[in-house]
Amino acid sequence: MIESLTSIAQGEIPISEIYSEINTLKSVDPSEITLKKISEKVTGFYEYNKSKAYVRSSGCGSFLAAQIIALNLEEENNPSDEDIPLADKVKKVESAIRHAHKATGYKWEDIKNGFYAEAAMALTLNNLGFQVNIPDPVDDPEGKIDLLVTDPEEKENPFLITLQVKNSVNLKEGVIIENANNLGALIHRIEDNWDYSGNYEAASDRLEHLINSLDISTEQMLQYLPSSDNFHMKIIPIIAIISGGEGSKNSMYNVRTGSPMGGTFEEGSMATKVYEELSKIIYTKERT
Amino acid sequence: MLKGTPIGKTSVDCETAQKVNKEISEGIHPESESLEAAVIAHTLLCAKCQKVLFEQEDAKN
Ligand SMILES: [Zn+2]
Repeated sequence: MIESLTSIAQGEIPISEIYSEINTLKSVDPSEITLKKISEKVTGFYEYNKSKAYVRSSGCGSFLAAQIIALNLEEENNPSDEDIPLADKVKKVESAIRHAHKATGYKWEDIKNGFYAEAAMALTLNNLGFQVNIPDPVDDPEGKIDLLVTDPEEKENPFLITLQVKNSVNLKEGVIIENANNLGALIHRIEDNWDYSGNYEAASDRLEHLINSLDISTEQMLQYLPSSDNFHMKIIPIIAIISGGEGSKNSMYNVRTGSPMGGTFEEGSMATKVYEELSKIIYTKERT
Repeated sequence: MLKGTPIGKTSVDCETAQKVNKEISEGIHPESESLEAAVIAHTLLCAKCQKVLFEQEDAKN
């Protein structure tokens, strides 16, 4: 495999034969070992050239989220394309990037779940008919906006949601969504829905960690959003907390594939819960 | 402003990724860490930019 990498680097083998080309993003499809080597070589370049560890870690996470989304979309469009289950495809990518991420020194398990949650949210909103975009780094200098969401059908009162997604294994309620300007209300709802069963101390620590991180990241996001007055549509900053992650009793997404739980219009599904929560904020006259 | 890129595409294009990768190789990192992370994600995803990067690094050695 190392030879084939060298061959790719030397231009002897068209890389597209091994590694599918991604102008419009498709899932990558080399063997697991090749994917591992390529990921390691790419991240090694940034390590060698002194990119900061958390920047490299964030790049790896974004790669994972993009791949989970691409694989799920392919599966939705072409479910019987191959005999390999979606979980195996996701696992292949996840294991390659986990390997490459090691050098950052950050604990992969701590960040991995967040990118699965982000991917599940993007897929859910996409299935609900929203236009879901990934923010441009210029518009999102601190990386605090996970997704930009619009409703292409809403012509009368168009809006743009700047969405930040977080996940927790301790959340009893499946999905909690609030306007980022109502952080107090969001924190209250999280506290009221916190599951302390099992390890009380760990649950308390996680709650404290989530609230602290919400405090910081919400403020950062709000700071750099343009005012709606200077924008061609209403901007609605939103925070979504999704129940899920490894060890979650009530995960709203499949922790192995990132797929949202349940069908788009199925009762109790992630999509239904997201829509219920979101519509309370975006389709009321008084949008703050 | 705040337009973004539809899911299913990468948030920076190949031209930007290759330019940033070249600069990083010369020791110049973008001011925006968010841009740098997006370029890393793009390069992990994009065979074309990987090829350019590997060739660029081979030429240096
Ligand atoms: Zn590219």
